[in-house]
Amino acid sequence: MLQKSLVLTCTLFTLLFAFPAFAQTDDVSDDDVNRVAHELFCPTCESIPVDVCPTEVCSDWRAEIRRQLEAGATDEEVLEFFAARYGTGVLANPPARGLGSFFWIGPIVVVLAGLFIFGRQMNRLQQDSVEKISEAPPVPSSGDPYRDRVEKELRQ
Amino acid sequence: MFADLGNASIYLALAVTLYSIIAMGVAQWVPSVKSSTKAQLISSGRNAAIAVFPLIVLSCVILTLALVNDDYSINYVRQVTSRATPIQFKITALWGGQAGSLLLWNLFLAGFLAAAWISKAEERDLIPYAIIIGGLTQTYFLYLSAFPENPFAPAVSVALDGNGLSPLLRHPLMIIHPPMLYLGYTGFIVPYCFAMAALLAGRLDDSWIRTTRRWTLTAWLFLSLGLILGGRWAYDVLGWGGYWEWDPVENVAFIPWLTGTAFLHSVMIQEKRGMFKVWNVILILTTYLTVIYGTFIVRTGLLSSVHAFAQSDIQWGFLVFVGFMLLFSIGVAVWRAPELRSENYLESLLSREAAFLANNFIILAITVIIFLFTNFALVSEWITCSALFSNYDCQSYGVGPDTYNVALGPLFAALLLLMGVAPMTMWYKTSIQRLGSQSLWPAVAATVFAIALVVGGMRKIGAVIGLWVVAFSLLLTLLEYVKGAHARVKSKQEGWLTALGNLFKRNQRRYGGYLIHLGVLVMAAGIIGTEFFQAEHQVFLNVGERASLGDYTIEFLGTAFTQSEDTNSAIGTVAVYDKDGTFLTNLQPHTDIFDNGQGMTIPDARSTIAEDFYVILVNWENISATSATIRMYLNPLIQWVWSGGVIFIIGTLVAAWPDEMDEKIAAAERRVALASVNNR
Repeated sequence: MLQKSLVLTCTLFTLLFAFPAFAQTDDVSDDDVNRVAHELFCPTCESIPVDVCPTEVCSDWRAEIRRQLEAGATDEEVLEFFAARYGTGVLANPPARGLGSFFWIGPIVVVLAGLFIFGRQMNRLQQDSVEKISEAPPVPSSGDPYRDRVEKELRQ
Repeated sequence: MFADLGNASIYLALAVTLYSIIAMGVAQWVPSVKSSTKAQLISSGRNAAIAVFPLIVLSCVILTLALVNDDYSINYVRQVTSRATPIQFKITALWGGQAGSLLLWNLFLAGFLAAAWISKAEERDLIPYAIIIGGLTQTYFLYLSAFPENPFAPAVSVALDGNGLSPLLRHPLMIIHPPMLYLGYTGFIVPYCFAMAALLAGRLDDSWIRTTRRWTLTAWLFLSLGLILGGRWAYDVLGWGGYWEWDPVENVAFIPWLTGTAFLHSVMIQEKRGMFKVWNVILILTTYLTVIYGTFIVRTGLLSSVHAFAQSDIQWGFLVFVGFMLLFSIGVAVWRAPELRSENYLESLLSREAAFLANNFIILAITVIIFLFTNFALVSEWITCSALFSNYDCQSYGVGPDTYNVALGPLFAALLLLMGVAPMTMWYKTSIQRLGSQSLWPAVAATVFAIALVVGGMRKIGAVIGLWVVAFSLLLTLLEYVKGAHARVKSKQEGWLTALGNLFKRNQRRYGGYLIHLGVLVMAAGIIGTEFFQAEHQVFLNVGERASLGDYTIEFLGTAFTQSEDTNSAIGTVAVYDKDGTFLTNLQPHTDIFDNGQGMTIPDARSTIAEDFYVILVNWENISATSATIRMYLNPLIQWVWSGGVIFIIGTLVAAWPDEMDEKIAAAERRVALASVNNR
């Protein structure tokens, strides 16, 4: 009787602990690992994401990602783990904080500056045309009348 | 023996280059030189500048012979070949390493320059200055080949065999890709030389642009080919499922292509309207500097580490060289800027001039963003490693394709839109009615297409907008051909096909240019398809097991192992079935492991116009060969990227091909230049 209940308890315990673990293992596919690995840069291959990098280090990183996902971590948690351990620089798409915000602010600044310069340039070129319309536009000269004529004809 | 001969020819090339610079400098700037001596100096300096090319050819031939004959007393030969290396790879090992690549770079530069000095002999007043400018660049690179990166440097110890060529470089695409890039890079130096020469000589008309137009297009053609082949190589060999990763090495090749593209467009405004003269000088200068910069990023691995950079002598020398060329060029441009005044003014914001200017701004914004992103790794490492941020970890911030795509996607879309609209604009002024009436039906058709996509289930808004833009611009570009041919059919009573052919004949540059636009639009469709809709699935399979991705199902049939001279290969075989279970084909992705430990993952793919089903062998069971891990990719429209590339290259060839009109103009210019020289 005691033996029987012991076996039962053991079995129950085994089921209780082993089964969820088994279920979790089943949940983490290679695709899940690759999805997270794609967001990380491999430290041994220059700017190649971890999911395609063939080196041993990256293979270890993929194993670590799998281990953490199996333990129930979310994608973000795994990424944070790597960022905390190896620095934010390992993230392929750094979040917009700290130095990483450069990648979000930089392009906006470039485009705005571009629009500003473009607008000013257009304005200037046009104002010039309004101002200069009264006086005859300066004719460029190479100092050689024949060459000027050919230049002019070529342009037409 | 090989080494001594090779070295002698490199040293001689360097000496001859220096002589040509000095001869030209003395002839141009020393006032006391008699005019007969001046003529002799110029002719001798020019001959010297041309002679650099055969000297470098000689050193390349010698190096190739050393490679083919296994001369392992030369360090470079030992690094890049081995006795087992097949003969064709022994030859291509000429550019399989650092020192050889730089020698090839020197060869191409000398070739382009010699060709320019020979064929442009008529540009008597520009050539001496151009030779000085070209000579400065050649001197620096020959210095590299002669001293710090000498390909003939002796090996430190005796060896009977070499290390062998890096396996990644044994692919045919990788064999042609670097020479194409170098040809593109060095080709752009010719227009730069003539631009600077025009400024120095005070010849401020547009002839330097017309003189170098074909050179610019040729350089651009090679750079485009280099980029496309590089992308294809990545797709065929690297096993990433993609063709472009925004990797620093890719970016630094793309940057001069972008500025070169801006230059090719904006010179048209100068030719037609005499505007933006300073701007064009700035663009060609930027292209030149980014070419030099790109070469060094690739050659020195600068972006991988700041520390390596600080430790090397070459790189400081490089900074000095680039700094000198930058200050010198800007100085000359500023000195002449007042004389480079625009001859005309912008009449309207709706004009071809304004459209070209907008094109330039978008391209430059893209360039600046790529430049900043690429170099931020360097800057961030410098910042975080400095004492200022001592509590930070010392690290560099790279950034992956997703961030690039988000930052650049809208700008590329704007560029594609402009590509369709700009050809409708007229010089001086275009009425909004004209633009509206011409683009109405293409806009309606593109919108119907976009609605159909949404109804068909497409939910990614970025893709729908992107495809709308592509469809709209594609229709507008095709209409340009239809309108042109229609005019001929009506006025000349030609058949449609004859009319279309004559369009190209009459204006190669314009209709070749539109063909380039068509190529870009087709590529854009492919890029949108792959970037937005790529799907992947990785799975572990035993023999006989099946897995599916999209409409495709694979069955794993087994792994085979082969062995050749220095390579072990694992070849997986999968059978591919469509959704009805009909057998389509067998695919054999494989992984090659080389004796030196390097590996290469070669995918296999089933390609259709709609999509590629692309398979990689990720891992395999070695002993029993009964199981493997397979990664499948579905790459929609990827074939459009390659076909667009082919159209693009054909278009560039059409635009660059010598045509009668251009010859006539060039001849007229030559007469003018000669007349003006004789009148002095």
